[in-house]
Amino acid sequence: MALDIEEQYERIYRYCYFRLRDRHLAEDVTQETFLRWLSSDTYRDTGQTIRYLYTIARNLCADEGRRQDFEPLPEDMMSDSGDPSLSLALRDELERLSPEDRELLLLRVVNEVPVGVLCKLYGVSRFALYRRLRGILRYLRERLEGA
Amino acid sequence: MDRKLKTALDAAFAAPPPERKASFLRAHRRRELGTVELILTQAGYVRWWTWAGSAALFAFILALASGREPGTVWTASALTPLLALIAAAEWGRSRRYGMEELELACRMPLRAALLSRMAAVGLFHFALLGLAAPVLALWGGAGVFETGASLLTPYLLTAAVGMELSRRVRGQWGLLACAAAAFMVCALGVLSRRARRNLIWAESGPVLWTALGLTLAAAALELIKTIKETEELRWN
Repeated sequence: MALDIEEQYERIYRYCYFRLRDRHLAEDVTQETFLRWLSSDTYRDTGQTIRYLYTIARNLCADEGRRQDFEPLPEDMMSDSGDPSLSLALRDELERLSPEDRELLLLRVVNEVPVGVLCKLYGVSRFALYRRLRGILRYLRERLEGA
Repeated sequence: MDRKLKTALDAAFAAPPPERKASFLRAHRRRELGTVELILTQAGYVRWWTWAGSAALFAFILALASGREPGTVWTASALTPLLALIAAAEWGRSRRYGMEELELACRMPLRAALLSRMAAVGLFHFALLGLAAPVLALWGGAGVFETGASLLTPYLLTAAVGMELSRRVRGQWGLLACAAAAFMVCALGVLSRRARRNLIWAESGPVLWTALGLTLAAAALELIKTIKETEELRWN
């Protein structure tokens, strides 16, 4: 039941950074997310914590998004994987995906948010979520193999 | 998903390291209770007579079964539902006194508190039954595992029926319904003893293990249902 705040901090920060593309703003929003979570006793130890954290972070990012325009992410701020060619091709393909699909990929594959939490977050069934995720991964795999 | 794509995605979504993470976590560090600590803390809220009653019943079961007869195990297993009744009485306490809503508003949620208390009481009961099994096996001339299974089966059956009843019947009537169920299981045990006075373990083995498996599954299912209902209460 205990939440690893340190680990979740990294993940929420990564999510905020993906949404806001500004490291300082992303960190501000991450800290605001945790402060709001810490100030609410109601949601502690209930198994709903991760969903609650992502819901706050998503709402705060949306608020920030409405408040200002984002600058594009500079190239050097993205780190490289072991295979540079794969990384470049993948980056191109990710840009072609819709923002919603990119977000789902980040949450499920990179941040490893449980499927049950994602279903509640997006308001979809497990089947629909798995189908959407499989579709995105199949698309990426096909494009990368073709490249 | 292949590892290469996962690694590439991790890298593609990487963010620069946060700068103020350490200071933030240091400033807002809060103490988390571990599972063992949670159970020990909540065990303190279990009423004293639950422990005393369980220990007294355990002593009574041993005293009653000390005749060193072949039917010793049946006698003991016919009384274990009363142990489950004590656990059920503890489980439904907040519901019986109409304190669910107040407990739901506490820092420690009702589900965690109930589960911890039941884990404490359940572990205590399992320890008692675990102590009783070798003694009764010695007295009754049966195997330790068979004795343990025959003690656990009525306990788990009563626990499963008790959980179902306490969900359906509210207030004091819930406890009465659990008590009725426990005494019915006791009666079943007594009747079984009368039906098969000279128990042959080798013949009864498969039936015993099947019964234990079924009651274990029923108790687990009822526990999941009860926990889910507690969560639904929270969101309502």
